[in-house]
Amino acid sequence: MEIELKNLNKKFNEKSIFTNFNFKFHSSRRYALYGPNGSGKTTLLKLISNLVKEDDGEIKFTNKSSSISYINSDTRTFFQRLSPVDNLYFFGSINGMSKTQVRKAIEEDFKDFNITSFMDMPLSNLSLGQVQIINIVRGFLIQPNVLLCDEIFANLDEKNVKNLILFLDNYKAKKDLIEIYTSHNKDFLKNFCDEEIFL
Amino acid sequence: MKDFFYIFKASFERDLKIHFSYKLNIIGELFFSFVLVFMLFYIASVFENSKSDFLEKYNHNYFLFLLSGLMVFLFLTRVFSSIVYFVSSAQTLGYFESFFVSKTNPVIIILASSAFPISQGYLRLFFIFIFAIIFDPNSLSFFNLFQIFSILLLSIIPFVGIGLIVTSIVIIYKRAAFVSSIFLIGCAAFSGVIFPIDVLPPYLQKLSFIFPSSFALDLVRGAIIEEKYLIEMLKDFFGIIVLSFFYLILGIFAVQTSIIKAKKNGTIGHY
Repeated sequence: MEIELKNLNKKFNEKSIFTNFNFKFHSSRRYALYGPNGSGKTTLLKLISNLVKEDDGEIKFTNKSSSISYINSDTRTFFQRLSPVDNLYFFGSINGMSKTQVRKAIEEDFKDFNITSFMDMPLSNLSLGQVQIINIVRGFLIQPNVLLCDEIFANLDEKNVKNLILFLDNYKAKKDLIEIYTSHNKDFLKNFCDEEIFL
Repeated sequence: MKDFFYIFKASFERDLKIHFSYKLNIIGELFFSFVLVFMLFYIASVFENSKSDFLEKYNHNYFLFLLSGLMVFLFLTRVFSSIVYFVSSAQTLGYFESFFVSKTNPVIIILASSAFPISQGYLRLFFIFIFAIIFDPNSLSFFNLFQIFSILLLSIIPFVGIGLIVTSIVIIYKRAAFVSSIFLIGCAAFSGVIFPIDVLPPYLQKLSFIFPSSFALDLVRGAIIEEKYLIEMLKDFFGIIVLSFFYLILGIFAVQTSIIKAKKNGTIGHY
């Protein structure tokens, strides 16, 4: 699988973010996106996930049935009055998943994150790190083959960072996957990813 | 279609849980319903001996006139506001973007957000009706409640459509309180909620045709006050059906256009 960005142009308020930008992402590779604030890292991920529309150019997926997950570190993106499990049931439902499938994914795929210990608490009582784990779980419910991660290691403690790396490695081993990461921790991404992109 | 109902069910369950996470909601609904009926009953009693020609076809029963007007208005405007409020909250609280990276068309997720408010609106109508029977046991029967529920079920669609039109403004401009207010005031003034539209000058009466609540109110009053047969009210049924198609199609088109524009501006998740 490939994602090809062809002559991509994007402007916000007359400020050009991308001008005739070209790049090809290949499966089974991890990409690290670097750049100063405002260079377009998040915009690029949002363009690929179709949250932002390009002004000009083309984003081509060779696999037409790509399932894309865009995961960021915004912990507000849930219903705060609901528990994590109820949030995941709802977000699972809009991705065609039953409650049983969601429950199974939580208990089997994410058991190392010890989610079941805070699954039924109100979301507003959780720490930022715990909400970030739920954010990541939501992103993986659809079994993505394009993974767009915007600062997903933010808010996580050392143990959960290790768990997440292990989880991502196992997932990559099983799936024909394109992974793109942004992080302010450049040293960490350098070791974690296969290829670096400077914007 | 199966997926459509599945998402409606999931949205209903979500909102039901959120609703019950606020402990005093039901008591608030009961209290509101009681105070409303209490006030309407005594306001109407001021006009009890009025022989106004405008109230003649309503058997001079201004209490039933007001009650039906406010029941229909409160129910339908709740349906309309719920859609606008859902999108506005989703943008403010930050989960709106997550709808766009799911496998479901965001328009369906927005439409499904009306599932719980509709049932909540019915529950409020039920409370109001019970109190109304207590205050005026001679004018109402439980069959009337069935008639009102059925007519309102038919009247939901155009209000959903209008909700989508206002939502499209929220998606792009982030605030649409001004437009919502104009619509709600228009509904109250030109649909005959608290006074018969016959009171208005003829050129203003024509405005009532653009508000689906006018047809819904004529149907409800036709059924419970004038005791008309179904065949006598076909014109109003036809009006609701035409406006349902018109507003729903326009609403879906407006939301889809606004989503494209917001994606272009990069402001889908902004508030």
